[in-house]
Amino acid sequence: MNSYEKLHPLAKKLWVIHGIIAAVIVLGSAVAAGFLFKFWWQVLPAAILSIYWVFLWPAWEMAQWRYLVTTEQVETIHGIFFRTHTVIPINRIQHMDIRQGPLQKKFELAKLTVYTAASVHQIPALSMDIAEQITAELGKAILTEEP
Amino acid sequence: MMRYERNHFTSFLQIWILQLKSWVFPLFFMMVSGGKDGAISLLLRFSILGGFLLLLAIYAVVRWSKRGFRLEEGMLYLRDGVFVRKTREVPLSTISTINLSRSLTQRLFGTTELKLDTGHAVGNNTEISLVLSSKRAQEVQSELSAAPQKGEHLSEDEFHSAQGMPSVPKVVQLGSIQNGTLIHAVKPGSLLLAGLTSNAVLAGIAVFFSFYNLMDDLQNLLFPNLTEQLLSGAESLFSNQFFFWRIAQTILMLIGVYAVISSLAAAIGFLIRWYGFRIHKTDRHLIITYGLLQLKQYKLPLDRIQVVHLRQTPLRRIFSSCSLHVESVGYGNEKGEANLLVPYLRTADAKELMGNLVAGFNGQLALERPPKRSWRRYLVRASILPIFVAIPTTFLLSWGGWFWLLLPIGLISGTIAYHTTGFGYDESVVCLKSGGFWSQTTWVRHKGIQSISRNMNPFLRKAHLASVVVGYRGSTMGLSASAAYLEEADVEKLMSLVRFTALPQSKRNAAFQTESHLR
Repeated sequence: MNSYEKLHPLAKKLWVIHGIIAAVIVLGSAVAAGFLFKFWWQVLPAAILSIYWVFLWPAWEMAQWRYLVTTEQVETIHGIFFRTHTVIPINRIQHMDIRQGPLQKKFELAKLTVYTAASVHQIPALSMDIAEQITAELGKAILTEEP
Repeated sequence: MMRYERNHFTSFLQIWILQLKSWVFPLFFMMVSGGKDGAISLLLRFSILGGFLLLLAIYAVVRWSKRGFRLEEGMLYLRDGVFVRKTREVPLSTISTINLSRSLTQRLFGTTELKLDTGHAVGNNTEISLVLSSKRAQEVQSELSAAPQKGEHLSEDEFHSAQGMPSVPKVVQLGSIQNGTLIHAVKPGSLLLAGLTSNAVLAGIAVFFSFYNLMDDLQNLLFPNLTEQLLSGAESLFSNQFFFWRIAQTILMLIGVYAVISSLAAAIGFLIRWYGFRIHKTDRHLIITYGLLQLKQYKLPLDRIQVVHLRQTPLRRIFSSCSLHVESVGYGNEKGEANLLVPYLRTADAKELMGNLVAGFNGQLALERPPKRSWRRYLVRASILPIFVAIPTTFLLSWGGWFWLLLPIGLISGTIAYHTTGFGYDESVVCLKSGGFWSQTTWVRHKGIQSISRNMNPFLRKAHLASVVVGYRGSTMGLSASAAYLEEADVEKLMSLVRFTALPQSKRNAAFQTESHLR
């Protein structure tokens, strides 16, 4: 039995940067609104959200995400509070795609999306090499699979 | 090379009317206004109108003449477009649903519309539509349904029986049903019962009463001393406020009456739409025929049916009756349609009938229930919404306290949900049952399961409980069936089962030794 894999370690860094961008926007607008309307209460929730995005969520998300790709199925386990374990038999896969945003490109990370006739599943941060390897192997496995 | 075959010539009328619809308002405006100070004389107005109609008619005829199809060696070729030529090639093996339908006008012209779906339709539209003379439509239908499905070959006998074209029957009938046996027919009485026990009527009455109550309360809130004003003297009796509220109340009364009448009309509409509902079964297809004004006939390949539902509304539960539904690409996705397999029947009969209709679907499958300790979780889940609604309304509205009545209703619904929920499986299907007052049991063939998920939160994890979601393929994306708060070990077993049954046969045999704990 293969063991479940973690996401690429750089993913945490990527999420922290995402978090910082979001925090700057939200905290910035909260402070700006404070100066404009002389009302400061909104800064508190904005600050809490920012701390969550930058310091907590990336670490939690990184710690809990697991995936497994074999020649028979793709499995994902994720969710901080509500944990979801999903099994996708590979002969149900319709197609896959690999996506990279500008930041992901810099870190050479990729998001793998798997489509079935009923649903869409994602593995958010893999190294580009592994993502390509997975799609190539799954492609091969799907081709040789009898229906 | 074979020539493209055109739609029946009357179908140009359909195109013409469709085009005309989008020009109705500008044309009407021109006819009525007649330009600045009626500068355009009546004669000119009529000639513009006539010319325009003629132009559209010419367009419709050209459009009709450019539209065509041909059947050749397992492929359907389609051609369309006046200015931009479009051609499309459809392998016959990909066609999932064949639908014959005749509206009143089509019956007048003796034509039948043949609708085909391969699972690429967008929204409520039919993917491929051919309007042919009824005879030709039947021929094409037999040709199409004789085509081998993916990974399946026609036997010699089947091939020959598909060649023998049927003669057109005299009674109003859509397609021919060769070798088909009548499995089920629904009587008009049951249909009317079905219409009345569907949710339309209840909803209509509920909307009326809630509106009327809200109305009274708003009046007290906005004009608290209206009643004193009314009592104090004649001059205030005819005050604007009084008239405003009387008129508003009358309007609401009318809306209420309208709601009740429209609900009843919906029930009668139900009867008209599904009139004469009957199912025939052949070796490879289910043929569903229904309709009083618009006749419809669907031909569903049996091996494409992966999912069957049994649904109960609260009223139907009392009468221990239900409706059966089927998921098949292209069936029941048109406007005002439902993927009905049987509109109304007794629950016990339904379970028996199901296996007869589609092999492998065992309606009598014994279901395992969630453990006793998950009962309180159902209660908690069902009471969250009532509490969240009742607390603010109690403070905001004078009669808001009544909303606490939702809580016992929620608790009853939670208890029913606990007793309803269950799951089971055998060698061919997985079955999940869930719901409160409204319940649904879903049977999914192993082949139809697209993914399976197990959901847990920290509390469930501690109690070793889990919810399960099974994604399946249907007429739209994102369909799934679920059951909540089951034993974690049971859900794990179900997941292993899905992992196992999704393996190809060769690997399954090898794996069976190691995973024998499944059975």
